[in-house]
Amino acid sequence: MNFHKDSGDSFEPCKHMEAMLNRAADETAPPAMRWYALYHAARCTRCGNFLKRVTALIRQLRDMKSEKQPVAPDDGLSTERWQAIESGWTEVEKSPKV
Amino acid sequence: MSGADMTETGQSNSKRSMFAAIAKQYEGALLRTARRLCGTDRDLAQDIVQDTMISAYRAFVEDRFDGRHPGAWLTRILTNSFLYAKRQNRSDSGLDGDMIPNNDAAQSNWNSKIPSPDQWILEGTFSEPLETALLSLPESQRICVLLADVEELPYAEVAQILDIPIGTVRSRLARARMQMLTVMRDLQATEMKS
Ligand SMILES: [Zn+2]
Repeated sequence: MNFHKDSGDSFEPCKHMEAMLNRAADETAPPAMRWYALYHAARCTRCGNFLKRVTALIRQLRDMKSEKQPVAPDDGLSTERWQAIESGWTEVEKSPKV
Repeated sequence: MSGADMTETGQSNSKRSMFAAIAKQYEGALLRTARRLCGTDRDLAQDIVQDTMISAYRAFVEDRFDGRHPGAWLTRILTNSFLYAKRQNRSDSGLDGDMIPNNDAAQSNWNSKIPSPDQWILEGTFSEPLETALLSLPESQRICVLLADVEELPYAEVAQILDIPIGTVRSRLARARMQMLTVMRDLQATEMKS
């Protein structure tokens, strides 16, 4: 097996490892795949860098979840939109059940 | 008004007030997700949130909401509203609407409404490098990231919503994450130079 040993912060992973590293990072890898990905990443500079970065990226993305972020008081639908929605709800109530 | 009518009216009033509470609670979150889907087209973002609120209310009064995870439930409806709006837009322009969820390449027409990441930065819509990187993605990849990584829906559910195999969800996520890492590294390098 070949491992990249370059110095620096290149994070282009070995092609055959990319999918496995992604699954290790997002915690969807089965145990054996996760073990193999971590084993390889510990010995290959580029895959190690990639795993570190992609794991941090996924963590940041999860923190962006809309429900987790506070909403500014003026950041919502306009009054006109709410009126249209209310009219839509009235239409729904008038229409028979499917 | 008959007794039965009064009971029905009472039921719909209480359903409406229950649903209005949910709608108010998730208004901001839905709008934020809609903007991430639609870019700077704020009208489109508001349109799809409006459609979502009405479709979700229909499901709610017909007892098709199981009472669990309202945020994820509304996000699913929002994504469908977005895909539907896009399909309408495509069919108006003569493109094949059925191709949309599966086709990475045939995005350019609809995407022409979405400005480039540079424009986003100029307009100050999304100032964070992460938001910029997200918006640099082709739409089909961006939806996968929004549903799977940001909203944390299971991959099987993302596959179902987008009508694509789960392997395609994984490969789109892998490509998207690589591109985002590259964009963020380049933004950081530009910032360090200036
Ligand atoms: Zn490697």
